[in-house]
Amino acid sequence: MIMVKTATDLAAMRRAGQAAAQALQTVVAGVRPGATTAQLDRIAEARIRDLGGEPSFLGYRGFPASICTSVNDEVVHGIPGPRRLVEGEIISLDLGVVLDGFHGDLAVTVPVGKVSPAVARLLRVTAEALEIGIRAIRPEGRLGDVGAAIQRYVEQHGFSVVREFAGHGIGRKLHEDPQIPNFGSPGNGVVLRRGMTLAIEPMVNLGTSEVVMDPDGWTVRTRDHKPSAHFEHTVAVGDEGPIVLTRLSPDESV
Amino acid sequence: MVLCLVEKETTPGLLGRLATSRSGRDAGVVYVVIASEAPGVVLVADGRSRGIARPKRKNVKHLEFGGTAPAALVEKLAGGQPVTDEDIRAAISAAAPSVAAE
Repeated sequence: MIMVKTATDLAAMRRAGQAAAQALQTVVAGVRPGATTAQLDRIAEARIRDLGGEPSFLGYRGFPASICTSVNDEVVHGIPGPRRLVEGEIISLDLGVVLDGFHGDLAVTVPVGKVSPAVARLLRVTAEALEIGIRAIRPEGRLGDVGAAIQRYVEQHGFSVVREFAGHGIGRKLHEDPQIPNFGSPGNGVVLRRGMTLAIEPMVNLGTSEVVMDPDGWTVRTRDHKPSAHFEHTVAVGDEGPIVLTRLSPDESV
Repeated sequence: MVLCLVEKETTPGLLGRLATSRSGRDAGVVYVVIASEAPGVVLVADGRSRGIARPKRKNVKHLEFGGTAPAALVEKLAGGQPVTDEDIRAAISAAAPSVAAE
């Protein structure tokens, strides 16, 4: 069942989204060679609680941390730990905040120092694919329009979209209906209605689209061990089109 | 945090995974996958209303997968050794204390 939010719900979701964006900004500032992913997790949890929220992910389906930290070939759901970041790596940071009963969820992939031109291009194309997916959201449009726009843009640039994992509806629960794959065909799928709130999150691989799960049951990585990028925003379907609830200011990409 | 579309995942690979029911009267209940019955269909138990002796048959589309039960339990399941309801309950509360308490 897809929950449509009221104006009051959307105001609460914006507060949660803004808190999540602010917390993620603080975590990103902590990314540097030598930092451990566990340090980034502690920064995230402290900042989320300072902002009056709680980490959406901590304990969710048994996830043991406040953020997902996915390095290099890790696609999503990397578990923070003692691993130290090294110059030239990339790290995907996925963060959720629950505030006043509603969730905000976003992700970004950032370089650790200087990365190769190919990897820099992967990050740029994935961030752009997210923006293109968001721009495909309109009331009475279809969810397939969103997935198709993302897929087309990514594949035009010679990269692949991950197919086993998807974005999702979001609201009082972190994961609500509908499922939002990063592929599809225009004009197909769920009809988008005003007040729906969606987490759009392309996962883009430099090589094969195939992924494998680590024995920890969480960490997803590319089968060919080539790098993967992940960007996400929580978006509401507004009267005129998409409203990005996790963007700090209209001009600033998180 | 992304959602797992598990339709493509082979069900034997799901043995020992923690799974939360997405729909039905048991929505929100956390189980452990104890057996793969058919492509896309698994048997799950929570050690309470659905014990090892009377597991629930679930379509994987109706489950959301999270962590994994402790390695010792997964080995028992894979090796066909006896598993108790207590093992199942311990695995669920160890991996997802907040969920198990709900």
